[in-house]
Amino acid sequence: MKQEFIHIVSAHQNIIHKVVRVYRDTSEDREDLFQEIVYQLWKSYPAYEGRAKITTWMYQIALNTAIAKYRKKRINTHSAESLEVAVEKPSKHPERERLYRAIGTLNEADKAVITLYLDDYRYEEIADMLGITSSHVGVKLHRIKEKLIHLLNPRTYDT
Amino acid sequence: MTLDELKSDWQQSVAPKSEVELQQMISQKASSVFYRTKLKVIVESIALVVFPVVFLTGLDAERNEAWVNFLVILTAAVGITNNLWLYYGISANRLNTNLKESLLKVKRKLQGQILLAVIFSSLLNGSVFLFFFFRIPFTLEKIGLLVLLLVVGVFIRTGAEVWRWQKNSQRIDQCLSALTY
Repeated sequence: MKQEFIHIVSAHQNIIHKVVRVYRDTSEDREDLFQEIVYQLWKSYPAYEGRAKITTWMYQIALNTAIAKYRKKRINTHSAESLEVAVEKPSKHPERERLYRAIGTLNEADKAVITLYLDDYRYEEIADMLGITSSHVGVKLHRIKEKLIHLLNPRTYDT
Repeated sequence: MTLDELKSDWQQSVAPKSEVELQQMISQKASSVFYRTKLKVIVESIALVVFPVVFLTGLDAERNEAWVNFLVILTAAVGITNNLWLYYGISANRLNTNLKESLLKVKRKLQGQILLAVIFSSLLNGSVFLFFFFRIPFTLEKIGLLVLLLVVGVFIRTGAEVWRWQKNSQRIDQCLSALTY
């Protein structure tokens, strides 16, 4: 069972990387959260009955762990007003970096909604994972999109 | 740029962990949060076992009323239970329900932890206080002052406990309210 679990997590570890990247600011915190998520997945694996897709199940545990678990420190250096300063820093993947920074300014629940949306989950699936209604997901996404587009394209948005 | 255009960026892979690294992560010792909590629980539990042993064997406990000595044992038992519950909460917590439900569970657990910590603190202060001062014939004013110190001590501990968990509690409340339509 252990080997099977490792294969599954290894194949879909991008999910954990994304959640960790969105919910933690420092590499130390991210490493801690990554370990915690993998451990929580392992603890919950015997109860996984295969009713949901394995990736959905992984997302659920990862998001729950990231939001529900106590963390000691949180250094937030993002500005909610503009991400222009961040663009000036050289990065291998500047667009992705800007996207993560913009998502980092959202509240914990909105981060979960947009993370799942960007991974092509349907409204119903997002609603199931978060324990809200599909229409609530729609409303939230509309607001989040507006906020993110404003953060990612401040000049276009203003004109 | 639209969000849909960003979806392709979102899918790009990051530096993956090897299977060996993942294997190490599922052992509790490798996971720093569990390791720290486990260490804390072990150290505090040892201290809480030593506490009644020292009090009851080395500090003239036989001259005390039986219920005063029992209070010392009760304090240690509550402290150990508190620690074990904390450890169980962090190690056996299964988060495979939806986010809202998980957060409600965590919130209830947090409130329970604060309550238990306050009960433990009251018992600890009260039992130590009674153990040392029960046999001494104090004047009413001095007893009043000592009781006041005891109450202040419990309030400080309660405040510290609430302050310690406040940020996490607020974060959970904010998230729950964001999930409420």
